[in-house]
Amino acid sequence: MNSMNLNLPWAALSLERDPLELFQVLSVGSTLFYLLTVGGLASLCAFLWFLAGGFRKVFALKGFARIAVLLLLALSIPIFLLDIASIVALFRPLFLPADAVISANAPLVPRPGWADFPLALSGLAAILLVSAPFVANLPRLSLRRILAIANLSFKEAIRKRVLYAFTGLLLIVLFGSWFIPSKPTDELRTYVSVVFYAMTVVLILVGALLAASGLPADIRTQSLFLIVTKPVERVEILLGRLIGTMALMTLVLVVLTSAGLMYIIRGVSPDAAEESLKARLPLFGFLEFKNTSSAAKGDNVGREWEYRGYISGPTQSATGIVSPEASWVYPTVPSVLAIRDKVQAEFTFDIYRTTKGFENRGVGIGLVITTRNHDAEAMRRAREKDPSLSPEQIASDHGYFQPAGSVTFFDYATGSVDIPGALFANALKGDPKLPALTVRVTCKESTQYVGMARYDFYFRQDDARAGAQPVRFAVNFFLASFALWLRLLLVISVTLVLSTELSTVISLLMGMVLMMLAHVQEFVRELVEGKSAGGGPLENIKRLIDNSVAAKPLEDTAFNTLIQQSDKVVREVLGALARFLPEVDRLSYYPEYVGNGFAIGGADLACNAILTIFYILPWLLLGFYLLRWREVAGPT
Amino acid sequence: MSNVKVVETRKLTKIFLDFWGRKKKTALRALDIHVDEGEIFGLLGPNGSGKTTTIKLLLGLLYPSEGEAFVLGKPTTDVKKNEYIGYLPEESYLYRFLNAEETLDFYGRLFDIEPRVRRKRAAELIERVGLERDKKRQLREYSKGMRQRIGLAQALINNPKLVILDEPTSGLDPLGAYWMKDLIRSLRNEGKTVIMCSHRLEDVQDICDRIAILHEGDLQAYGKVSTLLQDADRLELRASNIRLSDALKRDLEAVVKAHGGTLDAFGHPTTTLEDYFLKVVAESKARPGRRFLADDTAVQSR
Repeated sequence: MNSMNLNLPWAALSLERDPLELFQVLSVGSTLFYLLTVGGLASLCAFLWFLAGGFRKVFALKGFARIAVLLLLALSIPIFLLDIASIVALFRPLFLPADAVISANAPLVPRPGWADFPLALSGLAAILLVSAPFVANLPRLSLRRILAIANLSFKEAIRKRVLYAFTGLLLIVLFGSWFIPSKPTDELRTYVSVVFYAMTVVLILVGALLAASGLPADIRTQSLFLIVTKPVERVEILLGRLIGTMALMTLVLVVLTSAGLMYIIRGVSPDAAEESLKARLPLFGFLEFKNTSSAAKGDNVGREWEYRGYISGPTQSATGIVSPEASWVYPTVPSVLAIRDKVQAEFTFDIYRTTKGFENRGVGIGLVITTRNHDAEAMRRAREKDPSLSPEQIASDHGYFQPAGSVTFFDYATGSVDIPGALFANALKGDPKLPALTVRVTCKESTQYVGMARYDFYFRQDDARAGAQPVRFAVNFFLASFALWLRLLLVISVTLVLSTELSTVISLLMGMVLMMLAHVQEFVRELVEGKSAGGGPLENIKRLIDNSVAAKPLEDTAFNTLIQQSDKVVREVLGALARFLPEVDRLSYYPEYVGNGFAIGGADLACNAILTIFYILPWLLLGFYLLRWREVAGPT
Repeated sequence: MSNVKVVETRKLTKIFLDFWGRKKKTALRALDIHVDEGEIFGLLGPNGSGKTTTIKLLLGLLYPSEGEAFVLGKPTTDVKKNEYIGYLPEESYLYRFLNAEETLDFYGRLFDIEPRVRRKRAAELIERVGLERDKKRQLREYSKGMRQRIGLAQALINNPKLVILDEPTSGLDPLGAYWMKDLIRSLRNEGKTVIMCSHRLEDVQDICDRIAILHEGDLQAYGKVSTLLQDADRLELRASNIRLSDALKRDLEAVVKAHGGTLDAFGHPTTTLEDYFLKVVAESKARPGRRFLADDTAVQSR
C-alpha cells in the first residue's frame, strides 16, 4: 500500500517563534518581567517627579493618603536604585577592555531569580504609586462624556471624508488578479497575502494618521478649549478619541474583511478552493535530532536562514553506519483521533542537495511512528507468528506504524501519509509519564540532506478529506483580521498618546518608527547580541566610509577600539530600549496561517490580545499624565 | 447684586517660560480682584495686557505660576467648577463639521445632561439666538455672526451661574453687537454673573457694572464703572423742551458764575453713532424700499 499523496499544495507554517500558551503569558516569569520593566520605568518617573517638586504635593497631602504615598515611595526605592544602576551599567563597556564579555549577550527576557521577587514587589509598589491618581480619577469618569467625544471623533473622520482613503483598495479588487498566479497551489496564498497586505498598509496608515491628527488639530484650532472648560476629565478626552477612532477603524476593518473574503472566495478557481480553502487543525510535536552535530538544531548545511535543522543520509563512522534522525515527540494525543479510521499526517521538508540527483525525483525518507507501548521484540514475535498481520492490527496491538513502500517527497510540496486511528488508540493507553507518540524521520539518500523544523510535521485533527471548507476558512480569515485589529489598537493607542504632547507629524513619525522597530525586533536582537555582520552601527558606518568588507576584522588602533566600545554602549542602550517594543511581529504572521490553510490557535491569539492590552496600559497612563499636566492654552 | 464672591484671585501670577525653564514673559502679576454674584464685570486693557490670560487661568486652561484663584469657591484646577461655567471664546472654536443641533447636543453631553433635557434646552437656545432656520446647516457654512450666536448658545447649554465671554462683540456688525449686549444684560437679569473682556470700550461702558483695567500684566484700575468715569470737577445739566438762544446762554453763565464755576460748553447733545445706525436700520425695516438720495438729504421711496 502506498499511502503517499503528493498532490497537496505547498502548505507550511514557518514559525520562528513558538505560538504562545496562556500558561506562558500568565506565568510567574512573565509577570515578574512585566513588573520589573514597567515598575522600573514607573519608579524612575515617580522619583524624578518627587525630586522635581512633587515632594511639596506629597507633604501637602493629609492623613492616610500621605502615609500611603510615602510608603509606596519607600517600597519603590529598590527598583529605582536598580534603574540607576542599570543606566550607569549601559556605559560600562566604555571602561572595559575591548574583548571583555558584556551583558548584551544575555537574553532580553532573563529567567527570574529569587532576587527578582522583592524587586518585582518594589516594581508593583511603583506601578501602584503612579497609577493611584488615575485610579482615583476613575469614579469621576462618565461614559456619556467619553462616548460623546468618541462619537465626535467618528463623525469628524466621516465628514472630513477620511474614508475616501480606502477607495484605493478598489484598485486591488480591480487589478489584483493581474498579479495573482494561475497555479492553483499558490493562488489562495497569494490572494490572502495581497488582501491582507493592502488592508494592513491602508488601515495602519489611516488609523495612525487619524490618531496623530485629532488632538493636535483640536489644540491648534483651540476647539479643545471648549471641551476642557466643560466638566470633562482630561483622560475622558483620551479615551473618547481612542474609542471613536477604534470604532471607525473597526467598522472599516469589518467591511474590508467581509469584502476581501468575498473577493477571495469568489476569485479563487474551483481547483484552488478544493485544495486550499480550509483551516487545518494541526497537532504539532516537539522536534529533536539524533546523530547530528546538535540535538536541538541538527546539522548546519550553511543556509543563511537557520530555521531548519538538517539530517544527512546514513554515514559511515568509526562505530559503523550511523543514520541521523529527526524525531517529533508528542507528550499526549487527543482522544478524538483514536476513534477515526485514518488520521492524516502532513509534512513539508526542505531538500539540500549535495548532488544533482534525478530530474523530477524527490528524496526518499524513512518514516516510523511508535507509541509509548511499543515493544519491538513482542512485535517481531507476533509477526513471525502471523505474517499476515495488517498495519492496522500492528498499530492497534503494538503501537507501531511504518508506511508501506518508499516515502518520497519534493521541495515546495506538502506530503501526506494516512495513519491508522488505532495507533492513537494505542497511544492513549500506558504510562502517562512517557511520551504518547514519537515520529522518527531518516534520510534514505546518502548524498542529500533533509531540512526540518518543528512545525514541518503535524497530524490533522480536522477531517482531511472534507475538501473546500469555506466556513472554517472564513472564521480563520476573521481571526486573522482580529489580529490586525489588535495591531491597529496598538498603533492608534501609541500614536494618540504621543499626540497629547507632540505635533501630528512627530507623533506619526515616532509611532511608525516604534512599530517598524517592533517589526524588525529580530534584527534589533541580533544587533544587541552582537551577531550582526560588520559589528555595531558605528563600526558599520566606518566600514562604509573605508569601503572595507564586513568579514575583515578592524585594525587594532585607538580610534577603532573607541568605535567598537561605543558600539557596545549603543547595543546596551538598544537592548534596554528593546524591552519596551511591542510584540508586533507575532500579530503580523496570522495571514500566513490563513493563506497556508492552517487554523489560527485561539489560545495563541488570546495570549497576543493579553500582551497587547498590557502593553497599551502603561501608554494610556502616560497619556493620562501628559494631558493632565498640559496647559492646553499654553505656548506650543 | 449680592456680596457672594463668584470669582476671587489672590496674587494671581502667570509667568511663561521657555523650553529651558527660563522666564520669557510675565503675562500677569499678582492680580487681586473679585467678582460678585449677579454683576457684569469687564476686563479691559490693550493687547498683551493679560485679560485673556486671566480668563484662561480662571477656566483652568492655564495653570498659575504663583498665587491662586477660586471660581464658585473651588480652585481653578478643579474640573467640577466647570459644571456651573459657560464660556464663549473670542473666536468660535466650534467643530465646523457639526450643525447647530449637533453642536449643542455634543456640548450638552459633556455636561452629562439627560437626552430629553438636552434636546429641550438646545431647541430653546437655538430659538433664543435666532438660528432656527439654519439649525441643520454645518457650521462651516455659517457667517462670523452666526458662529458667535451658536457659540453663545453652547455657553448657555448648562444654564451656568457664571458666563465668561472673551471679546463677545468682536467681528460683529452693529446689529449683532447690539443683540449681544442685550442678551448679556438679560443674563444679568436672570441672576447670572458675567465676566467679559473687550477692546470695544463703549460696549463695556454700556453694560458693565464694574471693570478692571490691566496694562502689561498689572492691574491699573478697578471698581464701579460709574465711579471710575465720574468727573467730580465738572457738572452736566440736561433739559428738555427748550431751544438754544443767547438769552439762555447769558442766564446760565450768570448762574454758573454765581456758584464759582465756568460755562465750558453749551448746545444740543448728539446721539451715539450706534443709536443713530440702529434707528436708520429700524426705519428701513419698517418701510422697505426707502433709499437715501445723495443730492438731497431727503429720503425717498422707490
